[in-house]
Amino acid sequence: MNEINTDDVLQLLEVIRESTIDELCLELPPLKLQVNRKQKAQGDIDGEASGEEEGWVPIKAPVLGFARMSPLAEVNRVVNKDTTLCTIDVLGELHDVNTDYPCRIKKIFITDGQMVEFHQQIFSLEKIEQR
Amino acid sequence: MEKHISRILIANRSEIAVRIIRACRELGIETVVAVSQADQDSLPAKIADRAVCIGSAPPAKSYLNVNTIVAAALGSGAQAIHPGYGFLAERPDLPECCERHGLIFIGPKAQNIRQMGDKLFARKMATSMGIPVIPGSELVSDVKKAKGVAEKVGYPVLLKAAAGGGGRGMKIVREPKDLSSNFQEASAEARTAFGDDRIFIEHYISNARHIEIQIIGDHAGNIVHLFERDCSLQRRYQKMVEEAPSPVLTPKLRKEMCEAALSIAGAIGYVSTGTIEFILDQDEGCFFFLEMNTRIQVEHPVTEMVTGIDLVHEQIRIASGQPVSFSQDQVEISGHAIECRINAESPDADFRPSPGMITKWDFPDGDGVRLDTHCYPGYTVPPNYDSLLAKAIATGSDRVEAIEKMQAALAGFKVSGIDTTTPFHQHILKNEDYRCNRVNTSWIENVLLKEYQSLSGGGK
Repeated sequence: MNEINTDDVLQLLEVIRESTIDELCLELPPLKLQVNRKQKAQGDIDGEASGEEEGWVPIKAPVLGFARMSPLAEVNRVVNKDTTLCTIDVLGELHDVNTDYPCRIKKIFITDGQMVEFHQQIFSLEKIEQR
Repeated sequence: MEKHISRILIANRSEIAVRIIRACRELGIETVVAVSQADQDSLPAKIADRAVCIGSAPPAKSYLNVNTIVAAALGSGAQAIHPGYGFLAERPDLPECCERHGLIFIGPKAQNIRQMGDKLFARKMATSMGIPVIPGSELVSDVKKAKGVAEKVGYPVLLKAAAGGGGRGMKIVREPKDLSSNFQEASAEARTAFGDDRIFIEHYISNARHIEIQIIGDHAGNIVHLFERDCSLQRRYQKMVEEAPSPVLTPKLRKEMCEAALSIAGAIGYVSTGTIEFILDQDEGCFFFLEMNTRIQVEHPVTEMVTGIDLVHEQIRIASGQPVSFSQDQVEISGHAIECRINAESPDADFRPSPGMITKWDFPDGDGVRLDTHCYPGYTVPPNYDSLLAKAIATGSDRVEAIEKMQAALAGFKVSGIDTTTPFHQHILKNEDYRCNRVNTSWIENVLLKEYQSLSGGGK
């Protein structure tokens, strides 16, 4: 079997997303994929930037404004480069927060409609290396 | 109709933010201070109930952004915004934006700001009311026209940027031969500073005092004055020492100026605190309307100290729909107050800015001396903003006592880590011309600075 690439993972995750699967552990060395869709329901949206792990990249608000969350902004979701995770609304001036690389959303620190301050951490992302 | 204010967003920094927080606490109002990244560790951020970061250090990216300020107020649950002075205080789009989003602007109506921000409109209005204005022109577009106007109003003349402020784009021309080069320089400076090179010409009054009348108006149409401040001691059009009352104003001139100020404010239905500025010609014993400032002034404390009226309290009450809390008959001047603006500048090096960390800050306030400041030991003065560190305000039963109290306070003021203008203020206070009121608006630059530089070896 050929090695799995990023596109394969994204396709697989899309299938899982459309399914009713809550948890999945898939090991196809060197790939190990763990999906847990229960975490969000258990309150994974934190108010504080705590529990950071090595390799996670903090994403900060570019401006002060009100966060409008994308439906794609879910913990553990893998997203492509140039995906809009949320939009910061400053009285109608819209500032998109986009991904610069394929990544997994590891943490979300804000909720929809919340005021975010300038440079407040809003996401932790984990880069997915492209082969 | 009264509107409830329980939380105010302060759209400013430094000592005025601290001053507003103090007033809010006294009125039982919560405070949210909007801070740039450079001010996140500032005293206002520490003492306000909440601080919200609105942007990076440059003012255009933070304190000057109307939408961000209003969003910060909405998002933090404030019902009102206090703009302080400077930044957005005289931008009509802030009160307009507040109104669109159901917020109270603690200041004048947008229309008041717009009317008085147009210096030519203000001048025409004063003239139509019989209030004297300095002989001068409307906008002058070229040197040829400027020459004609200068001949008509009489030399010396002052060239002023139509969009001006802070002395930029201003030139004094004493003789016709110097007009052409100065006109071009003033236009260029105005274009660089304000993006608007329109100039107007006024007769220049050489022996002038800057006298301003504090007024306050409410939504019910009541307007009262709180007498005058004398702000004649200026360097490059920036006030350095202010006092109340003016030591040179006769009762007749005081009455006339206060009446003129009330007329101007009344004509536009002015609401909130405001200041009508006049030039007093000391040689002729007459005065001229200069302009109106539609904000709380830096030097408001000297008025507070001699009238016993808290101007920031009044601003907040009036913004919530209450009437002015006192009548004209109740306003009296008691004693004398002097304010020194202590800046982070090196007077021995041509007032070069001196940002950096304050390692020692010990000011002997009390005993008739008030200190309005945001500084403390360990605070780093950022290079991004104006250099005002503190306002020392001394109050005595008379001018001599106020000067003595200020001298004692400044002598005991210990600050390390940065340079301040304190030595220069001490030099002013001990000068016989100052003590005997033989000064005018150009005295610091024409007389005192030269003397100071020769004594200190400064001005390098």
